[in-house]
Amino acid sequence: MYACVHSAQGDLFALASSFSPAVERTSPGTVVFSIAGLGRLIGSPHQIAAEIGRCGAALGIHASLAIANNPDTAVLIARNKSGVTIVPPGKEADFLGHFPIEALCVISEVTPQLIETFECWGIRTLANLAELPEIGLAERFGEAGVHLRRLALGWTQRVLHIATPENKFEKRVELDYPLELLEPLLFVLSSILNELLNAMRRLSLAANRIHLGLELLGLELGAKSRHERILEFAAPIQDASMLLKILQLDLEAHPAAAPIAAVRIELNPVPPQSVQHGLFLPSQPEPQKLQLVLTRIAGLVGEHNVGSPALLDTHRPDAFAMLPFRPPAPATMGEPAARTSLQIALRMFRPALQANVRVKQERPAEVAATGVRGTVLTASGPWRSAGEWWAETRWIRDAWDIDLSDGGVYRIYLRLDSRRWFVEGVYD
Amino acid sequence: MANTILSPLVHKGYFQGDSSSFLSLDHLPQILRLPRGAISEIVGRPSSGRTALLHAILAEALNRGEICAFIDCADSFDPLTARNNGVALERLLWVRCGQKPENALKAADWILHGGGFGVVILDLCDASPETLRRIPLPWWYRFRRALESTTSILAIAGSHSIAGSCASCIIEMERRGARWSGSAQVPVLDGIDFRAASRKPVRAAAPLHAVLGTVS
Repeated sequence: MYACVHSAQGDLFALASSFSPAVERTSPGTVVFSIAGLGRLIGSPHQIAAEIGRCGAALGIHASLAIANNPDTAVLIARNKSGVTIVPPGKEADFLGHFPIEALCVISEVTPQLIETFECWGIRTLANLAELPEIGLAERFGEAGVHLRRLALGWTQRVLHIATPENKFEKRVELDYPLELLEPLLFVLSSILNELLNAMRRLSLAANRIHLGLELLGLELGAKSRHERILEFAAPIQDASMLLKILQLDLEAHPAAAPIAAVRIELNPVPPQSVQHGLFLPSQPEPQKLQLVLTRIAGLVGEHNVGSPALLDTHRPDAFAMLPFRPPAPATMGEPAARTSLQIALRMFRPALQANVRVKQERPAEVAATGVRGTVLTASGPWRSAGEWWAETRWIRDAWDIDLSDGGVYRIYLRLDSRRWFVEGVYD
Repeated sequence: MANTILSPLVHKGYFQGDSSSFLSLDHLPQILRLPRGAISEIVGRPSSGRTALLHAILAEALNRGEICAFIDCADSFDPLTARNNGVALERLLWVRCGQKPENALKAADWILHGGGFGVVILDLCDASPETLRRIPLPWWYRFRRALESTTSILAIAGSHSIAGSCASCIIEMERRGARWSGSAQVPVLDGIDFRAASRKPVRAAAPLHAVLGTVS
């Protein structure tokens, strides 16, 4: 026997789970679960229905309930008839017969085109459909037609698609007294992380993101503020000590501004990473160690100063973005391109060095900037570029490649909007 | 096959090792090959081709599927020319140290001890000689110890050699002059002539004279 509960509000899954481990989330607002075996515990289907109603009322759920011999009949009745309905075995067709043909739409396999065709034939109710010959339906609709007739008769049987409960890995701990130092806080974090990660390991899961929320004691009595940190990892982590170390490094770099009154940790569960390393592939950094290294470096130089450079889709000079370092999975690479000479590179001065440039016959003749000084031996330019006139990042400039008497080959440019010279970099 | 399989064994006598004990730049002279599991230094003045050589080393290692790191003391790395020189940026970890050599050294230490990086570049080109001289020698011993049992390469670029006896290879770059094309009125920078010589070990091979490619 199966019970179906249909309601627009309330935690139906929790209600169903309190009666059976085999619960199917059929659609939003509808759950079906098996009540086989409850007869010995509770009693007859009427008593089971009463018990479900009592539990539902306790949870604040007002729903329609149907108990039938198969899940589809229970769903059809619960979705189309309010109140409690108990269908005795063998009487399914009697209960379903007066439902309109559109009632079948709640079953996912039934398409609106099929219903429309039946309506064109004058089939208005499920009883009309049940009277049609099975062979004729099979000839016209194939297996789908036969299935619809069996639905109308209440003859279908299927296994439930068991829904797994949503795994939430979060915990909040209110501290007995406010903590100001990091070390005692780490003890608290350690115990929470151990508990959460043990639960994750039991389900073969790992964490790829941690959300740490610290509730801070405000300066004013009773006032509270929050210190939130969200860390994402290049690879899922199952090791509590590794996660604790990452949190420690992050909190050292971003300390809380006031004593901590409560701690909340939420971990995002994902399947653990499994990589098959090839015998002929170069070694790669171990993902968890790499994450620790990246967190350490980010704490030292700042989060925005570590990562992978990515060029932006613009002609603006020195336009790039720092992306989180997520190296692609190791793969067999092709043979390197044949290299017969070195290609010249530019070393940037960031920010560009402001320069005093003496111009002679419209060409730079002498350059003086911090660390760069000399007479121009050869100058190539001007190479004008401009763009993004519609934005704050607009630029217009004349660039020159110059060979300076100090032995360096530099790129300098004149900003045409401010008429000021800058040294952008040195060719090296 | 020898070009794609990296030997897990790194011999102490690097320069008697087989080809898998080195990162060789294809079609470039053997003078530019770097020993694995050891510190190499690339020294020279500005415009002597140091950065071009660093890009070539990175491109070579990244194209072989390795993960590399560029520790940039002076924030001078240019992703555009690096990409044009064949560097696969998505596999490169770039650490910008904001003119602080001590941060660069710490980052290099963590990366080397973390392991798994094929090439780690420590770019100290723009640090002053006084700053470089003040770096305590134990840093280099620590780096050498971290590298010993690995196939990683630590390449230090600077104005002069700083790692002392800890460096297994020192390549000295020297600028010979810029090369221009076009007319005298409208010259175009074509490249830079440079000379690379191995100061350590002293090889029988003659110094390399070459020219950097065209500006793009």
